[in-house]
Amino acid sequence: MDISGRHEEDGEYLMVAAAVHATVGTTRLHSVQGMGFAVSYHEPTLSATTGVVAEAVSDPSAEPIVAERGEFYEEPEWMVEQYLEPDFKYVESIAERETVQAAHHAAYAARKLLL
Amino acid sequence: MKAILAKRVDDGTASIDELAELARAAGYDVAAEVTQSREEDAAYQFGEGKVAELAATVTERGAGVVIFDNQLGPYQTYNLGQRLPDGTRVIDRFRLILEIFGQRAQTRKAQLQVELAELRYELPRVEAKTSLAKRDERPGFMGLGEYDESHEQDIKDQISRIKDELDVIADKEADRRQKRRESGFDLVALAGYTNAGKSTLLQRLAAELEIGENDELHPDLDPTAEAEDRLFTTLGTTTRKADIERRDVLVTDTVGFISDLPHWLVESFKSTLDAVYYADLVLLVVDVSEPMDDIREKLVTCHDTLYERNQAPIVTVLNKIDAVSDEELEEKRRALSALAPSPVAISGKEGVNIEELKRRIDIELPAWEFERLVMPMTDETMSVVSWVHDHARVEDVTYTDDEVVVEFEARPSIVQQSRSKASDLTAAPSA
Repeated sequence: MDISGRHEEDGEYLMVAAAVHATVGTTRLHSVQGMGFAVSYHEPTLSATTGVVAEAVSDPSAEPIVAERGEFYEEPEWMVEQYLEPDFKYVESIAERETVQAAHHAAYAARKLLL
Repeated sequence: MKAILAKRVDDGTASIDELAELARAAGYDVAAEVTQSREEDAAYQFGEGKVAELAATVTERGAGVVIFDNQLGPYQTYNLGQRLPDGTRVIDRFRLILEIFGQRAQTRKAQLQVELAELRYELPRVEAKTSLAKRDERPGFMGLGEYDESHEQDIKDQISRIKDELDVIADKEADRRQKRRESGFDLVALAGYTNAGKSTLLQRLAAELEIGENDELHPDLDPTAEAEDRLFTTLGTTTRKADIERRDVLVTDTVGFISDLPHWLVESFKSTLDAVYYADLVLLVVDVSEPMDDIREKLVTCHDTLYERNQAPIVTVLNKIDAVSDEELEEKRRALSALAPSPVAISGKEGVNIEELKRRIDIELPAWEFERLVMPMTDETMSVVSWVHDHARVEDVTYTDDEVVVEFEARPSIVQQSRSKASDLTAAPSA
């Protein structure tokens, strides 16, 4: 998953989270099962960012949720898991990075459509 | 020379094992370790109290150098130098790695890469000195600011000169890779954390060095890859020929990865890593005898290093299974399933499961195609048949009065080339 729009514009926030539900190998994204989006107008606190991600993950069976290290302010994985229902981990393999990259493009494009 | 190791972590316990190994690899005698768990101090990295303790330890042990695991800014290095006994060198992990590289660099390319990395390390430090000098600028003849600025410009000029020379070397190597592919070779690269056993595995996979008629294409092929139980034994690349099932494969051993390397350091070794980035297959070698957390961390470092530019499929090789029980191996396989979905477990040292690894390499390399070429008998036909013999695995050749039929298997690119050679024959007038 990835979040676009953590910055303030004209005194307002518009965070868009995209979740890509995929099966992966070591270096390749094998297949995409589905995608989910969610929007938040709150400041990007840990609680707001995890909230919008949890909402974007529409399929509860999709585990673990994977994000770049900076996404949740480098907080330890166990702490992020307190906010999210499913298991959570930071990216490790090349395939996971590729998938997060896909989510990044989706979140960025969705936010541009909304503006 | 005696060295004191120092490391600060934000919280938890500081582990200094890898730094100690690096220090020993550089030839230092580790006399003591000083660690601290706290936020970074902008002036000294450590807190002031810990700096005093460090200074006392240096005096007590008669050490000549303090090695920090943390990256030190130019000002921190200067401030620490002021607080430690006169003549004590202060270096950080990257400076230490550069020292090791400097000691091991044998080839022109390795020496240039080390020099480039050193200059890139030095540049911000010289810029910092310049900015300090400018606050107290004394213009005019031999003014400090002017002198330092010329030093900064010098470094930038040298960086640019070395990069140009390395680009020329990289182009030559890219040409060589291309020629090798055209000669029907598949290119396999060994990658992995430093000291994972890559060079030992290369020795295990490699056939006796017989490049034969293609000698002039492979001036860099080295009959031996050094293998020792220490970090950064391999600094350049060593390429050797291996017979993998039905294929002719060139296996390249390369410099090991290590965690937390800054971007500029990895970038300095770009042309060495190109051997990995542009291979047909990467074998990512892992020392499975290490603790699980270390294995995971090192694998993540490798994926970090490969992520930006790697184009080849990766097969994870769990090496050193002679040092673990079957139960432990199974447990580690399960724990690594996300990072390494279907690894091959081997022992390079004992030669266990090498055949299985060879089979896997054959499966993962680009698929070969079967081709049946029907060529008219002209003056040039036999040279095409000979070329196919050199570049492919020929299964059958049938001669009739006016035709030659060759059946063979080869890489897709070789099949394409053979078709083009055959069609040239068709266009030629018959004898």
